[in-house]
Amino acid sequence: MPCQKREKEFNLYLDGKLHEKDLRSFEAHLELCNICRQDLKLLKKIKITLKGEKPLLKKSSEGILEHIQKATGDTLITISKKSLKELTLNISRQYIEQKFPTQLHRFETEFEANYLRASNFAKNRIPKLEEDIPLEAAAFADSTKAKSFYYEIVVVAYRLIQSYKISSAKMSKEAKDLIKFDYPEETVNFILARLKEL
Amino acid sequence: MYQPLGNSDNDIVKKIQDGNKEYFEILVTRYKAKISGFIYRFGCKEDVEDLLQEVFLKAYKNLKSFDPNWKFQTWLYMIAQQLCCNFLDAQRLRRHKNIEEVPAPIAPGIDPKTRTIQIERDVKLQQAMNEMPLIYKKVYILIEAEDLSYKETAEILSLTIPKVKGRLHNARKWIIEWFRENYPEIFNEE
Repeated sequence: MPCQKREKEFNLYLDGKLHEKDLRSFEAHLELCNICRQDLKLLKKIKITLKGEKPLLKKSSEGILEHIQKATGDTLITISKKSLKELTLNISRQYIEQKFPTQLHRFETEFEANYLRASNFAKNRIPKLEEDIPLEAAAFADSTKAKSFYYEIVVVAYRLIQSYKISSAKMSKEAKDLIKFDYPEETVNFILARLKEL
Repeated sequence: MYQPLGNSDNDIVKKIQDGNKEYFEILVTRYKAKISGFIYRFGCKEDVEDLLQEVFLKAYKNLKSFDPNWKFQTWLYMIAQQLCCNFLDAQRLRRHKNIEEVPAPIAPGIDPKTRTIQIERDVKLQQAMNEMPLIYKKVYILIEAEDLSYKETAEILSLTIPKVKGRLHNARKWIIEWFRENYPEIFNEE
């Protein structure tokens, strides 16, 4: 504990609020008083340590907002803020659940790989949907790869959601293009309907 | 959809109060790090994430009654410290004694002897903070670790400024005495 007579000055000094005249006198005291010096050093050390303590957070802001949404029923996350991957998974999963419930496990197992392929394909071949690069060119490039039914669903969901994030008009155009290039019409319409509900 | 950022906290609150609920995300993003740091330093280390979302949930639910004359940060800290105190009280009742805390990670590249001393010191500090009476601890953390002013701390804790100062000085005295009694070696460290 700092010297009793100097306690007030000790605290003011620590807070950087000691007036100049008192400052010189207190610093002279510090030269002589080992206890006050030690105490001061300790408190400074504690302050630095405490300030440096930070938690590693696993949850994003979105996770916190989801918690509030669940608890209150209010919508805090708009589609434009939701992650494309999460939406693609949720919506394409709904389709499988309804149409092919026994295939759900296989769909989920293959989802990561299919999503990666769908998003890489979209990024490489159609850098920005808003630039209106003809889908024909993109579809042609994609047709060189073997298509699986599950991949097609993921592609449909991914593309429709991505275009919906830009505008619903863009989404309608994308839907027509997908049907035009032989993506299953029923799947396109199902996902379209889900997105319109959002 | 979003207006440009740079709006004051209270402007954002007003927008939410007017029904634009999605603006709450801006407040979460602004205060997530600050409030989680406070919860962590307050000693609720293992439950930071849960408490953090409870703080924001409580803030969101009570936003309707938020007085625009208040400062949002002060109000949020008020909620956080209340929830932390309730949590620690409940934990004390459940466990009767504190479990051993895991020390904060220390940057690599430090020589083993220094590292051992640092770990020991951090463990002791955590022990001291766990044992510090709550009335001191609240003031001590808000001022020393969160860098809040006496005025803001007084508002958060519904105290007068002289009372805040008094408790801060007592907290400092308390922690010095704790170290003299439990870990006097720290006074000889470089």
